Amino acid sequence: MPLDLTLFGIQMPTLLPIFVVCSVMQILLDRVMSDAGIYQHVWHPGLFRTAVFVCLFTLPCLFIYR
Amino acid sequence: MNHTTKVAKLIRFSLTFLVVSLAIFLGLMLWNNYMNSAWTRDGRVRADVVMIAPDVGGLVSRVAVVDNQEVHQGDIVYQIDPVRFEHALHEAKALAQTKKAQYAMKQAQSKRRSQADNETISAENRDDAFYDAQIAHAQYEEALTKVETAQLDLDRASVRAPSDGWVSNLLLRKGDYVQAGDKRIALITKGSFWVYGYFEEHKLSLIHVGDPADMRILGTKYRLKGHVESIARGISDRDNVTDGRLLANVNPIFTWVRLAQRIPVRIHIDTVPQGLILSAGMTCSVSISKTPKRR
Repeated sequence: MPLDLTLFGIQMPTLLPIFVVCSVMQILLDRVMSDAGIYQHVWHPGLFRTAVFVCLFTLPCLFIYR
Repeated sequence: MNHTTKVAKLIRFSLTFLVVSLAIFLGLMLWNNYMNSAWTRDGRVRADVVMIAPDVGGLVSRVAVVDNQEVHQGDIVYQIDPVRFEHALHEAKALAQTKKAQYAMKQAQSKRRSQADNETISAENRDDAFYDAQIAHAQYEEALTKVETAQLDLDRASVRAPSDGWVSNLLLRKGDYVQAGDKRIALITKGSFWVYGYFEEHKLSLIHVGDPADMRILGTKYRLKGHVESIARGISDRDNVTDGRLLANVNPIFTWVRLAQRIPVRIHIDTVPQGLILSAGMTCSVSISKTPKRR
C-alpha cells in the first residue's frame, strides 16, 4: 500500500482514511456483536471494544509500514 | 450450577485476554515498523541548473529560444548585437597589418645594416636595428593575438547552450542590455534529475549508500525507482547564527521537546516511468528498503 494518498491536491498519510474506515466498521461490528450478545461473555466490554478496534486498525496499517 | 459459572467466568476472562493481548501485539508491531522503516514524505525532485551568462556585454539583438524550449548543446540561445565586435575585429586586423608592415620595414633595415661595413655604420646602430626588428616582430605577434581575441569576442556574442536541456523561466527580451557575467537564462540540464529525500536524523542509521529507493510523485500513480547515491555530511546549525558583532547567537530551545533535524539523502533515479514529465521541484515520498544481502 502507498505511504500516502492525495485528495484534492492535499497529501495525507494512508493511516488517516484507514482510521475513518475502521471507525465505521467498528460501529457496525459493535452493533452486530451486541445483538449477538457477545458482550455478555466478555469480562470488560469497554476494554474488549478498544482492543477490537486496535486490531482492526493495525492489521491493514501493517501493510503500509512493512 | 457452580461449575458452569466457573466455566463461563473462565471464558469471559480468556476471550478478553486473548483479544487484548492480540491488540497489544499488533500495536507494538505497527509502532516498531512505523519507527524503524526509512521513509519520508519530504522528498524533492532536483536538477542541475546552469545559469547561462554571456562572456561579453551588449544589447540583445535576438532571443533565439522560447520559454521551456528544449535546446541542444551548442545551439544559440541569444545573440548580442555583434556590430561593435565586428568593428573591433576590423580595427585589430588593421593594426595587425600596420605591425606587419613595420616588422617588414625593421627587418629590411636590420638586414641592410648588418651587411654594411664598419666605416659606413657604427656597431651601435647595427645592434639597434637588430633589436628594433625583434621588437617589431613581438609587436606584430601581439597584434595577431588581439585579432584572435576580437574574433573570440565576436563569437562569444552568440550565447550558446553549454549542454542539452530546457530553458526555464525565460525573462530575457530583445533590446535588454546584458553585462558580461550577468546570469539571465536558466538551463535545466537534461538527464541530471535526482531526488533529495529529507530524512529525520534518527532514520539515517537505517539508510546505506546503494539501498534501493522507491519514490512516488505526489498525486500520481507514477513510481520512480532509484538507489541511494550519497548522504549529506552537513547541514547548517539553525540555532547558532553568528550575529553582527561576530558573537554566537544561540537560540534558547525548549528543553523537553526537540525536533529531529532533516538530513538530505541524495537518490539517483534509475528508471522514470513512461508518460511522466519530471520537473525539478516536484514533491515525492521516498521509501528506502534494505539491500537484499544485508537483510
